[in-house]
Amino acid sequence: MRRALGWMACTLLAVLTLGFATDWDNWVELVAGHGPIKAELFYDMSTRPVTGVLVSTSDYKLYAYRWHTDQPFRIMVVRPRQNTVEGCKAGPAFTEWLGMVTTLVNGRKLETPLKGDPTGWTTLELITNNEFEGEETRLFLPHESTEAIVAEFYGLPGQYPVEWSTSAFSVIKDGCRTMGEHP
Amino acid sequence: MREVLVSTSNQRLLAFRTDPGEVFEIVIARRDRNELERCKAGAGFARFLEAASSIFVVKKVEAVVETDTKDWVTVETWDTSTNPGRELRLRAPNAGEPRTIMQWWLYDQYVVELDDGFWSNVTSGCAELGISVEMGKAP
Repeated sequence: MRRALGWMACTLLAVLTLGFATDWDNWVELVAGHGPIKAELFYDMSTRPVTGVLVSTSDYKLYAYRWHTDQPFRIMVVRPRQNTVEGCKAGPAFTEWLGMVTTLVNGRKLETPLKGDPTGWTTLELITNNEFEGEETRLFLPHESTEAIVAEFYGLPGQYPVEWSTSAFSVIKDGCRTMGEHP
Repeated sequence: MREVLVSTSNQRLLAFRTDPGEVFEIVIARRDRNELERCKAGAGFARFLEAASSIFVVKKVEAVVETDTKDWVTVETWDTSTNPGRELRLRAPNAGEPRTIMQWWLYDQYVVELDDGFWSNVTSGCAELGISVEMGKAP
């Protein structure tokens, strides 16, 4: 009995020590400004009432909106340099893409941040009934589908790879032709 | 400022420009029609933006009002930096409260004063906000 109690005490002490060490490592990295040290869920809006989505770059803007959460989305697509505007009902491709971006899992902070023109990045905003509960993220969308999307988050220093499909983002640039409803 | 998004219960307005020296382009979706309205911004839009940028706080609201009613308007603006958009939520004056109420984050509300150009132009469409009108295509 005494031996069993001794083993239990040792095990408990080991667990506590290991837990403390893990938290300590995380804490040290965070304090040092290195951000999260492992893949983690940055946000999950899959169960929240998204009523609008804005994807904006200097040459392409997709704004999806709905008047109520039980209604389908409509889409407006603007290409400023081509002076064109499209409008359509959102289709299955949009629904699939929206399902992807309502959950964001990011990886380890990049040791070497991407350089380049900040206007070349894409702004993604998910809007809820109460705007203050939405999420806004800046994204670098690579040309090659094999490369990862990189994100910057407001209030969190650094750049992080994101577990989203790069090719899914390239599809939305087709506008209503791909993202719209086609009977 | 490079981009503006205005949301009301019956209208969505997206205004944008690719250079700070350019005139804003405006695209408007309305709840009661499928076609998009489109125009270049004019004096009405400039007055609307100015009104949304110059708000004076009068007092804090003691008993906060509901925030999911149809008389709230959200204006989000993005400047040319990499900062996130700035959100402004205002409730239109009504018989019970003849002044505008501003939501401040999740909990606080304030009675505010702002130029009449805000409420007179917010849902007026290209007729008041723009300098020319053409219709976008939508199925």
